[in-house]
Amino acid sequence: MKRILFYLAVLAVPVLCHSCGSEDGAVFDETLLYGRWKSGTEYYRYASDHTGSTWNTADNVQEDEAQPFTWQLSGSTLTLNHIQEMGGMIPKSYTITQLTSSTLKYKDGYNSYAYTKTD
Amino acid sequence: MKKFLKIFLLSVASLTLMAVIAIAVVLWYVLTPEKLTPIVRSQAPGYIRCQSEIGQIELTFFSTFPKFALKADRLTLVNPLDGAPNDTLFNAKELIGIIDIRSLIKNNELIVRDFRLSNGSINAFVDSLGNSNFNIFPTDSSQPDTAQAGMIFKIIDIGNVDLKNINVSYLDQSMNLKAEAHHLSAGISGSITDERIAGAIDAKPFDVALEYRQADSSVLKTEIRNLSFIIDGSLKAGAIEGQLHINLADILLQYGSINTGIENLSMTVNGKADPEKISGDIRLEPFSVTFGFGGETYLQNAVVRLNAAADVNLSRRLIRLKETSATVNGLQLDLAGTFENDTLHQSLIVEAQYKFDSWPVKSITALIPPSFSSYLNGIDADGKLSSEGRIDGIYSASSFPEADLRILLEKGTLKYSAFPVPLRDISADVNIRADGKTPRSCIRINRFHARTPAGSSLTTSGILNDLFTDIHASLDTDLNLALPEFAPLIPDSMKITAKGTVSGNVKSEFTLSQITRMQPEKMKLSGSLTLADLAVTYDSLSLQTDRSTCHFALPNNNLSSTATGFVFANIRATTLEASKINTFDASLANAEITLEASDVRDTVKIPDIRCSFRMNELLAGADSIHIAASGPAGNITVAPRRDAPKYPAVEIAYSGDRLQADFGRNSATAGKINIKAGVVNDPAKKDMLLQWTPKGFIDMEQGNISLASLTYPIEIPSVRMKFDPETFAIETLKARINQSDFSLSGGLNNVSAYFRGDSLLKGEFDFVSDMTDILQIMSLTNGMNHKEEEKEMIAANSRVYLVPKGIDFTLHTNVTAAAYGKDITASGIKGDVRVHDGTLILDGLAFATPAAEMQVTGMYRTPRKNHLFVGLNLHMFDVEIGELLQTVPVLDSIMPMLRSFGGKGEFHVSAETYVDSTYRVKMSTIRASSSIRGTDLVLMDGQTFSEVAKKLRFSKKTVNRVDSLSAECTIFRNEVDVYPFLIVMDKYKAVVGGRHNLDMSFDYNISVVQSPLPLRLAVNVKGTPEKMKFRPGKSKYPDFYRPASRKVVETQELELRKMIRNALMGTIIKDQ
Repeated sequence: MKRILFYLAVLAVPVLCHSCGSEDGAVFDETLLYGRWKSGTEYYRYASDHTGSTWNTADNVQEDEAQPFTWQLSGSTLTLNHIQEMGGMIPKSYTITQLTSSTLKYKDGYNSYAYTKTD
Repeated sequence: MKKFLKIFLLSVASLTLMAVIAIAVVLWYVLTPEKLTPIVRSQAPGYIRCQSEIGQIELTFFSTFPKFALKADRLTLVNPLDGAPNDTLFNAKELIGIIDIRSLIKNNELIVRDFRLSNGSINAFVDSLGNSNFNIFPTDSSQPDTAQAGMIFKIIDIGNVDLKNINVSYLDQSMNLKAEAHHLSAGISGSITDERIAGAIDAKPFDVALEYRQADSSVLKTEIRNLSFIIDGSLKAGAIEGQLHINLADILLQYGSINTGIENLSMTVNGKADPEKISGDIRLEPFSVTFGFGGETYLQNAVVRLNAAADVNLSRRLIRLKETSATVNGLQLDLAGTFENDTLHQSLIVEAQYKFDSWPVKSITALIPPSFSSYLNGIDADGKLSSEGRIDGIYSASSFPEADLRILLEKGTLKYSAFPVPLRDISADVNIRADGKTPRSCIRINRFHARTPAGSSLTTSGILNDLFTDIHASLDTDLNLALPEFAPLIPDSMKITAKGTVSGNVKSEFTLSQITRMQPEKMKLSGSLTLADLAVTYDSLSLQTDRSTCHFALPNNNLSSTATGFVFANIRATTLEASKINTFDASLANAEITLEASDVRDTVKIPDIRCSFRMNELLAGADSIHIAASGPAGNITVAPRRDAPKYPAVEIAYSGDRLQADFGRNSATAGKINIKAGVVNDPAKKDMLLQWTPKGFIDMEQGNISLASLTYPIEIPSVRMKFDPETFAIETLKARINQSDFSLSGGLNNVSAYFRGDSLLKGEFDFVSDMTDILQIMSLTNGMNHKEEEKEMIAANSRVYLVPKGIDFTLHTNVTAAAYGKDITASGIKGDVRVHDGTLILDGLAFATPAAEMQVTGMYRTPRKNHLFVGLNLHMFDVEIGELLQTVPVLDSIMPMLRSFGGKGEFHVSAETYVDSTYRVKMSTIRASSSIRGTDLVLMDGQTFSEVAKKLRFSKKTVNRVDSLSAECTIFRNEVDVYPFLIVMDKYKAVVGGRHNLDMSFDYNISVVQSPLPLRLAVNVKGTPEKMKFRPGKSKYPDFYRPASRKVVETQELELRKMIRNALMGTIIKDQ
């Protein structure tokens, strides 16, 4: 009986999961990203030349010591490439769910993130 | 016979009686006073021109037996003259004269056989016009006016003139002279002829008063008491010859402010004189003299004696003294020579010799009048002073005679209150030659010697020239000074004490002006001084030596450089110790120091100094610093820079055996050291360190440095290094710290620029080591050039390592073995290690650990104390995963799945983060990417595998072995993204991907992409390692390894993996 239930569940999962990803077609204005965003003690600054920096004051880091990244917004996909001093980069890809002049929300496959503009 | 005698006697008696009777008849009846008196009175006007009063005249025989004499009971001569105090010229109560009547009558010769004058007075007067009241004798106008013609008589022969109680008064208004003699008694005899006048006077004691008033109203007053004298002399043809002997009791003489008293004078004068010449001798028996001038008594009852023989040439005004000796209070002066008054040139020509012998100095100083005695206050001198010499030459307003004197002092003593060291055994032999001109005038000190009670002595000889301009001295002095004797010379306020002796010889040549102007550069000083048992303290400073000698020369005649001609000194010391309380102490043993220098007082010019030194041992200490050097030797040269003379250049050469320096609990030693360096100074630079730029080399062996901060000392077997202002070229530097050893060679650049602050200190070295303890190296360099507060942080937190700032060093390492702590070891380390201004860079460092061959490129930067950057590119080849986790424990947090694998693989990671001062990771700053490859891995965690295999319906026969593994992951902050990777197990292939959080929660999806079953099963694994949940889920990566059907997202994921992998692999350094 357990084996039967298991197979049913396995068959059902693809069906259920196939309906996800409804924000794929949304398009956001990247100029709204320009500026400094804050979430708690965590900050991001997006520059118009698609560079940016991030820092967290909880770790006793100020903006002049912030770490750099480059960013790209395509549709609703926001890609951040965090630059390593040692060479290489850390790619992070998010799906924007809300972008206004004061609010930025995005998510990846595991977490959601929300920021408010502080400029 | 008797009858004849009787008849003869009767006849004589009869004749005598008849003669007596006849004389009596003549006296009493023929030539009675009544008959003689008118005759004399009538004849008197013929012989005298003034008024005379003659008493009764009688002829005497019996009272003048056996001669007849005329006796007047009163004679008064009156010759009034205007202005005369008395009209009476002469007055006597009794006058007796025995005159040769026959000679007077027949030959016109006045022969006075006996002349007695008693109780009379003479009042002589000369008015202002020269008229006198004693010019009473008539002159024969018929005779020529000659001396002979003036004489009334052909011969005047005075046999015996006897004066008794005669008062004489003489007043000469033309000469302002007044003289009085009281109670004069004298015997006078003499004769006057045409050719000759001879006579003798024997004056008995009488009193004389003399007053002479000069034109300026100054008055000379003299009183002579009990004067007696004998004069015996003659005058012939203008020549006087005779003898004078004077005795007197007292003379009082007053002239202006001069007061002189003479007692008991006895003088004998023999001599002769003519109009051209006077010669004779004078002898004064010891008499007492008191002499005062201006209220000052210069002589008080001084006993004076004089013996003199002299010739006087009147026409030349020349006096020739022969065998003259004068004595004052026993001080005898012998004098001889000539003194000529040259009126034509108004000069005095002197040619004289003198001599005195053994004059007691005390007797000389006793002659110094009180008003001058103040100059001798505090001076107590004695000794025997002798001198002889000659004075030749002309004394005038423009010239001074040449004096050639020799002065001897023996057995001298001197105490002077201002010089608290009494002198004794003073002896001196000095020649003085002076003519008031330069350069002939000089003082030659043949010998001067003096001793002190404690044994100090001074002996000098030499010559003093240019006495009348700028005295030039050339002296040769031997001295032996016991310093404690001279301690009272030093003011108490200076707090100086001195013990020991200073002895030696000093040759000096200088002028008085050089002394007063302090011009040692113009003086000549040389000699040798020996300091024995010397101990000198000045306040808190002290200097001691048991024996030191100092040879010195000023100027330096044996110069090694033309510029160091000012002074030379060579000091040799058996021991020499110097110290300052609570500050420093230093001692030298068997030291020799030679110094040459230019004039260091010239503050405008950089001095030239050459100093060489050599000693057996040097010990020095200051505060907690102590230095001990064995056999140090070398030289130091200071000179103006050739290109910039106003700045100094210093050359230093040092060589020595063992050198040990202790700095508190730190110490450094060297078995052998050899340094040669030049240092150029440029004071224009602001920083003091920058003002000095060195150039040279160091060669040191058997060095050892012990620092309290280090557990083990640093051994330096050898160092050879050249250096200049910009570069330190290390030929070789070998060092050992505990088990660590290394050898450095290379260069250090930008040294002066570094000290100027213009550049980093750059260095590039080959670092070769058999064994290196990395922690020790880090401890050595921790915090270098950081701020004090940062160094304090190091002290408070021994874990933190602050990379040195201000330097840019590259080490090309070749390390056989290295250890980091107890657990981490590596071998075969090759690659570059760079320290760049607070940043540590490991550039492609390849090495092997027990776990794997590794290559690491790292960066450790310390921008500020609480914000430290750590970056690492690590490549491990053929690594045992278990040992990998042990080597890099943080990987267990980043990729906890690795703990589930066993076996070997390759691992690449690029990670960076900031940490705080306690090395706590600042999670928000973590950036990392990694790639791992493995084959034939064993899943260690059987329970997890069983759960997953169960959910994925793996065959029960499937073993927990992963055939191959290829995975990439990234870390951003606390998110670990595991990019989908393929696991091949037996017949199964599965793709694993997900997120792992650093709080150890995770969310993975495992999708089966190949299995015996037709289904593409998937399972989600969530939770924490302690509480995992396995749930069937959607397969996220069903087509991940099927390019034909791969979706866009999956393609992007693979591209990212490829990019990450390539980025990581690009950091591998090839061909090491």
